[in-house]
Amino acid sequence: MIFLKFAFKNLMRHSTRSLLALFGISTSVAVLFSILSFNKGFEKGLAKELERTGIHFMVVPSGCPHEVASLVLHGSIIPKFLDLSVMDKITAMEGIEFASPILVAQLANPQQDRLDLTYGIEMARLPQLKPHWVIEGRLPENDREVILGSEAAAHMGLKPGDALSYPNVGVSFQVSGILKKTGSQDDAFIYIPVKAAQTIFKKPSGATAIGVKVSDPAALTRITDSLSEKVPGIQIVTMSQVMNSISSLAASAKVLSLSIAIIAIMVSAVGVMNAMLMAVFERTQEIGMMRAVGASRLDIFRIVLKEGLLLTITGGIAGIMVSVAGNDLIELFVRKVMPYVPSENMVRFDAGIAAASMVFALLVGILSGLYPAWKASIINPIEAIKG
Amino acid sequence: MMIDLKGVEKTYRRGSEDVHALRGIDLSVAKGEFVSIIGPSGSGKTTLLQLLGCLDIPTRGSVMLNGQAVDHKKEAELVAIRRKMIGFVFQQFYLMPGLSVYDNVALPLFFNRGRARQRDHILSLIESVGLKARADHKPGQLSGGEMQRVAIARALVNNPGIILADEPTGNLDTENSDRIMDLLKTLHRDGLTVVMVTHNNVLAAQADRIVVLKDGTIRG
Repeated sequence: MIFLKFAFKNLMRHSTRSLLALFGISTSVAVLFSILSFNKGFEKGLAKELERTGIHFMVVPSGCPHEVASLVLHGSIIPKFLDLSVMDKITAMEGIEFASPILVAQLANPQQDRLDLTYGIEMARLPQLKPHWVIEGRLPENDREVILGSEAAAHMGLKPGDALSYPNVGVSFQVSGILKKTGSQDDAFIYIPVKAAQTIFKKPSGATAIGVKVSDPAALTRITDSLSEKVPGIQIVTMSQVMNSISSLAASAKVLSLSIAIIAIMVSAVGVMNAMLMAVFERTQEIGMMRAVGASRLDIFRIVLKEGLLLTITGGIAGIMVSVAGNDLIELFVRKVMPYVPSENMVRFDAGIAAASMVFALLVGILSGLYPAWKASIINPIEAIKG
Repeated sequence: MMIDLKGVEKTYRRGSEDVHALRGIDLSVAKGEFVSIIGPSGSGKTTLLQLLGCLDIPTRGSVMLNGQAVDHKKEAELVAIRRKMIGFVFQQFYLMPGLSVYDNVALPLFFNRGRARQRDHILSLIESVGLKARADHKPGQLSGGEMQRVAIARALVNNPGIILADEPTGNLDTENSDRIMDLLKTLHRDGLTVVMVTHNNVLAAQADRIVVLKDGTIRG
């Protein structure tokens, strides 16, 4: 205990230097903690979101799997359409509970001089396809009613009951409901009945993708195998493949961000070591005195090591607190830069991750304190006292 | 004999040359004796004090403290002897700036884990050096003379047999020097063995015996 008191007093003697070292450590621990928390939240959110999607696999035109992944989860525009007959072939198969076409496209909006993103979807299947959606208003009941994503609605200044017309293609819709903010790309779309979309884009039974639910999930592999055999030019993406695809994307981001965090921590460890070395050199005489009045080499070693530990542990706690306090900002940033992000809050306080970050801070404290502590312990009391 | 040195030599290596700090010292100090060591700079005074204080071991010769040979002992054993038998007083006082007078006096006990920290013992030491009212003060609030008195109380806290004082009055004015000398003489009267290194012949003369060092040997 008294060593801890010494350590604290010694650190306070150079409060600016100690605070700077503390700042470095807390920043890097905050980065580490945020990255770990974020990754955990991301994986959890992803799994949850996929679980909630009420379909087993997607049928899409052959193409890039990443494109497919982002389409499956939040819609994106693929400049390819499925052949008209595909839908019939799927429904004709045994064991299919339902197949629901999705048609994502851009629609020119001459009044606002912009391109609207439209997402054609079977409105009757919406509760199954997007079970987590909360809609203010009601679901469309006919082909002339649409739902707006919250961002799209805010952008266009529309509310339930308002009209939305596209004179260039000769259609006019009425807004029946607004999708409550999901925090994902879902917010940016205009959801129109798939039939209306097929008419507008002149694809009478076309789709960018077809979501399929099977009646027996155990038969999934058999169904997808026979489907890809029978129908050429399609690609079948199961939900687990989507998950893997996004996970591997997230994993490479994780590796990159973790390496940055590790570098930040190493730099801050050098900062701690430097602060400690300076403190040791400045206290040479005092250390000599302590040796003379009965401190062993080990005592001195421990005093200096505890200083480093005190610094890094305090920095670690501060870093975790900063990170928890600022997690909304971090999340906001991540949502901006990541192509796909689960709609739930991801960065949450997790005791296990906090403990892991603290252990890391502790290790940094030990490693950066070892050399200064050793330097202090070999100070020759005779030379120190003489100055 | 409290201190018994026979044929003690100490050679340092400084760069490429050997410095013969002590060249064969024979010195005996009886229990309860007050000895002054004087001599010019570089005569080996401090080296001698360091050997007596178990901060170093001789290159050659034997050092006995209270009948126990301490030359050629390992660092850990030297630390133990230092804790048990030696109290150091330095010219620069070397108090811990962040700690109170009380904690500074108690400092050696923190390292000497075998010994319980007795509040009464520490307070009585502070009182004996005339600083009872200042036990909670920090060193920065004390005068030089007061700081050296704290250092003396610190040197006594382990109940050592030997007080080693290295120019204890070197940084003090006459009035404070006298007060420190009075304290050392009191300790000597109470039965402690006191060895004091000094430049000041007047102060040295107040001891039982003066040992003059020159070029690493004893002259008179």
